[in-house]
Amino acid sequence: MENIVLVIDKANDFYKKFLDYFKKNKKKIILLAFPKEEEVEEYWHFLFSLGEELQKAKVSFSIGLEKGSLFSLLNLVETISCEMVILPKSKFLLLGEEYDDFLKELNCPLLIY
Amino acid sequence: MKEIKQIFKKEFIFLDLEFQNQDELFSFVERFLKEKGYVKEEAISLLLKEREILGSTGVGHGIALPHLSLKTLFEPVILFFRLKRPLEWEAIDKKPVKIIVFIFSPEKEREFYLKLLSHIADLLSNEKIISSLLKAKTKEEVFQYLVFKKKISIFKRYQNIFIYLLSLFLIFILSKLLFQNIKIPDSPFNSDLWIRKEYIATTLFFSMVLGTLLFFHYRVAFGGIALTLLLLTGVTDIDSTVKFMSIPTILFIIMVMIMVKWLSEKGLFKYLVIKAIRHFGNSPLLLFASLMFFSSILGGFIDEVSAILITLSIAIEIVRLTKANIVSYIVGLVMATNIGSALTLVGNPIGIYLAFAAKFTFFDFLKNATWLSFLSLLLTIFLILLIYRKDIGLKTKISAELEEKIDKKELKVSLIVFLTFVILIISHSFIENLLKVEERTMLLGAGFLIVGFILFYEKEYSRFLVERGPDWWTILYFMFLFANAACLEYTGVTEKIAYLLSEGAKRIPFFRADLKETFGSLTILLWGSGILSGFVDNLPIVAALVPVVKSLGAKGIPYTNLLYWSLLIGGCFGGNLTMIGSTANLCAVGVYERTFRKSFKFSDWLKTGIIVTFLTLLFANILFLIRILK
Repeated sequence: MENIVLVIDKANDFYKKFLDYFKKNKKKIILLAFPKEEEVEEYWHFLFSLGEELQKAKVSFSIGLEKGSLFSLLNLVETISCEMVILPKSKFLLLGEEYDDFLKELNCPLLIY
Repeated sequence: MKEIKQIFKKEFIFLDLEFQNQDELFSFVERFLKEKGYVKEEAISLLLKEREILGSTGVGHGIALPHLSLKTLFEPVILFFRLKRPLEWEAIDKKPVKIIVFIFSPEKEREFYLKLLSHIADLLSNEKIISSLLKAKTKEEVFQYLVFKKKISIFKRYQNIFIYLLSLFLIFILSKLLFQNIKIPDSPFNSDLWIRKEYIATTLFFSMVLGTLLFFHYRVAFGGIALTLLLLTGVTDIDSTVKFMSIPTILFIIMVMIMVKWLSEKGLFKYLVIKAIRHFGNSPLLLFASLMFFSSILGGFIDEVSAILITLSIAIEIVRLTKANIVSYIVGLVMATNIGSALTLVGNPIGIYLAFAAKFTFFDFLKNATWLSFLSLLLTIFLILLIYRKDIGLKTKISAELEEKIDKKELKVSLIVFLTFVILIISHSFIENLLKVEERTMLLGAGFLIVGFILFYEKEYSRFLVERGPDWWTILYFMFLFANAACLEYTGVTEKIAYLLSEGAKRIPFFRADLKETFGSLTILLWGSGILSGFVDNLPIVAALVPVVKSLGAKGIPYTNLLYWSLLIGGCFGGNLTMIGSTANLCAVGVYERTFRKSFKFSDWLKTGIIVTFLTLLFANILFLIRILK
């Protein structure tokens, strides 16, 4: 089964809709975060608590956290078999002028919430 | 609330054990927990396996955090394993794992369990800790790394803020003392009112420059705040601030950015460079040298960032074919582009700034900067080839591989537009004289005319070009910067610095008395702007020093114009010193890191940067000296 990478932004509740969708459709997902240096522990906590929810719902999942730029996501997408990447708009906007390069190098569909 | 040191035990650390697979490790863990009396009947191994089937607990970077909350467990348990041979774990990055931390917690302590997990995950997100854990020789060492999280001192955490505030405080005190003690004969700037304005303007100018250096992403905010404080302290007023922003310069930069965006999207520059370098065929040496040459020429006619992006994309292809070292190409191309950005008035924002501030024409650039940059470019190419002679790759045929597909009609249109722009820029002073209009009118007019045509031509796409072409963030930064820097001139700061500079230059020994001030000031400005440009954006430096040169001119020292050129050369050449010396450097390093997924080492740049910058600045200094003496 292919993975869906969901990048989490705590400030944007919309990810909950995706989680509900995954629970219903039993998708295999990777929950990922790109926090600021000072938010790493907080984000791990958040990811593990979301993981608990998914575990109860018997959704197949893994979690991960990256400290670098969003470009490190490309490595991950290349390594795994990825069906789709879901990004919060805050992270996408941070790419600024580099969004073009990012899209060129991303080899799967992208959904922005 | 319990702490990790109350839970974690040294006997629960296992170093350099070997397991054939996950199952063997899980069975070991189950046996261990049962032996120690933590669990009785639970099939821990099975539960761990089920969790892995649901989704891998490998979080990437060679680390796995298998975790379970168990009803019967009476207290949390942490087991640390460092494996002799990494195990396949289906981790999110597919890398095998070497460090595995098992975390078991009673079901009723959910919040503590999550805190424990996130705490350990946080520790293992730190590359230094991972590396220490991998190298640790004893269980005691591992225990120390995991239990005693290194506390970052307040100073370390807020180091940049402390440095910033302390530097500003020192600048405030020193500038106050300095300006109180410099009295220029017959100058209106000796009064207490102006002295107050001088040290406030100086402190606020540095608040922006230091803010840019230490907190790069907030540079526009620092500029805005500095400007507000200049207004609120009465150093300047709104009308003057708007005038100081040098709107014609800003408008010209915006027009050039729109045009370059359009031309780049049409593929014109890439096409031209590929056409040109294909003639240099199969020799990797000639290929490298010619690409540096064209990168430099491109840098002289479009902005350095666009130039480097175009040539770097070709370089990546060449590197792929010739198996050359990409680092040599990146360093070589960026250095050539920075040198080339001084070729004409449109190559670098400081060239545009000088054209408007010092009223230089395109021909002034040709007479003073182009030949000097060109000779320095040849020197740079020679130096780069010498330094990287072993890294330039193998012989190969590139003609078929480097084929750029382009729409012929669009190519013609974009070529005509570009050539028209170049002709208008070259002939701007002639047209201005002919039409008897103000100086620099046609410089700006050329930009408006070309962009006007492009917007007509592109119809509905034109809005996108205007919105995405100019780098609005940088434009706003430039406006704040120009206004802040102009306050230094307005308050007399630059006049006093010019006075100090010329007094210092007079003391140079063994030099013709009538030219001491010129040569001394020129050398200081060239090397000062050059070295500073290696660390700070060159525009703040040049914007602050242009009024100093104006004041030196007003004092009547000979060949003042050469001092402006020394700023241009210093500002452009100095950008080669470090990896952060110019936007082109950062941009190229960014492309490298994204394309090759590796970090660019500061030292890789610096060792070449020092040689090239020192020799090109020295070369320029000698050429300037010859001009002065002639």
